Amino acid sequence: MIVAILIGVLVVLLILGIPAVFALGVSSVLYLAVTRGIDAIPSAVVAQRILYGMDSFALLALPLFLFVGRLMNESGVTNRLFGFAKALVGHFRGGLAHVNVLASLIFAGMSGAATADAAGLGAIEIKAMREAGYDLEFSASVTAASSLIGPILPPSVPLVLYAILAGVSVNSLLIAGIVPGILMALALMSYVAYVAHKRQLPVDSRHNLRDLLVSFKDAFLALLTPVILVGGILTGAFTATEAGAVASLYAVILAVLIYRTVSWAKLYDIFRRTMMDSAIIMFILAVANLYSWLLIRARVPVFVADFIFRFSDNYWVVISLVILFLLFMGCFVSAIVTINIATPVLVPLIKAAGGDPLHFGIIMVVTLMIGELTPPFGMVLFAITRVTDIPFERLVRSVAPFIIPVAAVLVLLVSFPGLATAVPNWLLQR
Amino acid sequence: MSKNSSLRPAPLGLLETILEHGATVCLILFFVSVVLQVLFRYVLEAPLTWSEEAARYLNLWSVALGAALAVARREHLRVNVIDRLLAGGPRLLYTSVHCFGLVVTLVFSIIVFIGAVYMTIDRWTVSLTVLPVRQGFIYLALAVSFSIIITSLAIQLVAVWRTGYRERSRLK
Repeated sequence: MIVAILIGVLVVLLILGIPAVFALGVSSVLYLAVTRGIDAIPSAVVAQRILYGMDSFALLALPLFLFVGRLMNESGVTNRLFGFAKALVGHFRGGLAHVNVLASLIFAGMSGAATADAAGLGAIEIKAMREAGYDLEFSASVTAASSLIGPILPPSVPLVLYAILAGVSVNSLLIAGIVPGILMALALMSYVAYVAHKRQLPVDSRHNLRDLLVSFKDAFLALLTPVILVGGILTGAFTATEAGAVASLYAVILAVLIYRTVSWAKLYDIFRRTMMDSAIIMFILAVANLYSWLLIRARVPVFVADFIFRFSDNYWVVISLVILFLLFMGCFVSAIVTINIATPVLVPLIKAAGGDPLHFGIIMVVTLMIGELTPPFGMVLFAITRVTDIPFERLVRSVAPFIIPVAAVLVLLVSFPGLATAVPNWLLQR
Repeated sequence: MSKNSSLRPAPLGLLETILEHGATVCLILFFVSVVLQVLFRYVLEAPLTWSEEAARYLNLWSVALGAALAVARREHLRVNVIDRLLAGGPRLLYTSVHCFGLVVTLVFSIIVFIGAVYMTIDRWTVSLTVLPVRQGFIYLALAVSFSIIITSLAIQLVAVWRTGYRERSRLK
């Protein structure tokens, strides 16, 4: 009955089209009304829990990460990154597709959301590939798949959300995303190499050393942004929030004072749009704090664990079932919402089965990223259809094979937890 | 998931403009606080005592006002499968489902608003650890936010009830 109210009602309200933040709130209040009586709903506690959900220093990294990504997109830095990546790997067969992946990997060090990559850098990548003779489906699909690297490599909005909800170190989790992010880029480039060979995709002329140096000089200052952000976190010099602040300040200096591609008025507009994105994400987190508090009080994670362990308490069976569940959720609900809803239930389950919540954070986000490429509600697919004129159905068909390399990385990460946990364990001596 | 609803946003006019700029200014001040904190701690080696608290609560006000604005503009994330399902369905079903959604959301918002007002009054005499600001001022953000959310939802509810059929036709 308790599980039915908290989980069942939430699912029904989501299907009825109620915004996720209110679906979480309504199911929480309904639970309180049923368990305590309709005239004894503790409204002050409800308000307190929501407020606590917004009040954390670690959480302040989120708006900063969103701001850096948006500012970098608007400042024309993406053109410089694309030029540098082209000079590096453009001469391979299917070169621009490799460039696409490499540019996304570099941009991932500045942006924490897949849609920022898909809609910003993605527009430049698709245009360049189309002009070089690549077909629209392939260009759009490579762009969609490579944008998934963004939320895996630090800075990452989903990883910060998970870390706060699961109670793991934000810095450790962000560092844990480095190897999986690079692995994902390598897997996508391997798949691109296979397709390029099979379909005899175009080859760009090799850039000489001078061209490479010129493009590097052009992109150098922009390339320092991920160095500051990731380097600050990696060395333990900064917390994620402080690294976000330094990178934000650096990005403002770069865009407004050095490149002069962003006016003060445009900067204000970037702040305004960051505010909206940040408010939407953090408001869900705030109400999810109330919801997850009730889930724990109602011992729902224990019931779920008992239910699953009735079939098997083997870690591999449990993690496989959880991944299947997340893949299903990813098809219908955005990664941000799923993390808010599922983390408080799944983390105790994974812990009880002998898993590591840090490792599971990476597994969860990589799995949910696959959902960004699947219909009917793949956010990345929507972002790509907005920047190109490709019909949604055609994009869905053409992007499907790209799920294979991403899924292969997921299998690797599940099988070898050290790929995610070794670096933070070593660097931060967890 | 979608940010765009099939329904028209609730027009709040000047209030919407004030909300938007208020939340943006809070975010900018938050940004300045965090940057100052890092600069004073690592460059000048004279850590500020107030910057962390200021950053946390400026961000909180920004989120609270921004969230209210997102309700007025119907920009909160939602699963929009119901819009497609009901696009060709009967008028009464369409109107009922949307009214139901708005009513339950309204009930939840009223409960949070009551709690936020209670906490604002209760904590009005308690000061924050560092900043010379009352704790009640933090809860006030929630009270202000939910009062605007309630207004927006009420306007939307009336609009759906009155124009449900026309809105449904727009979807076809």
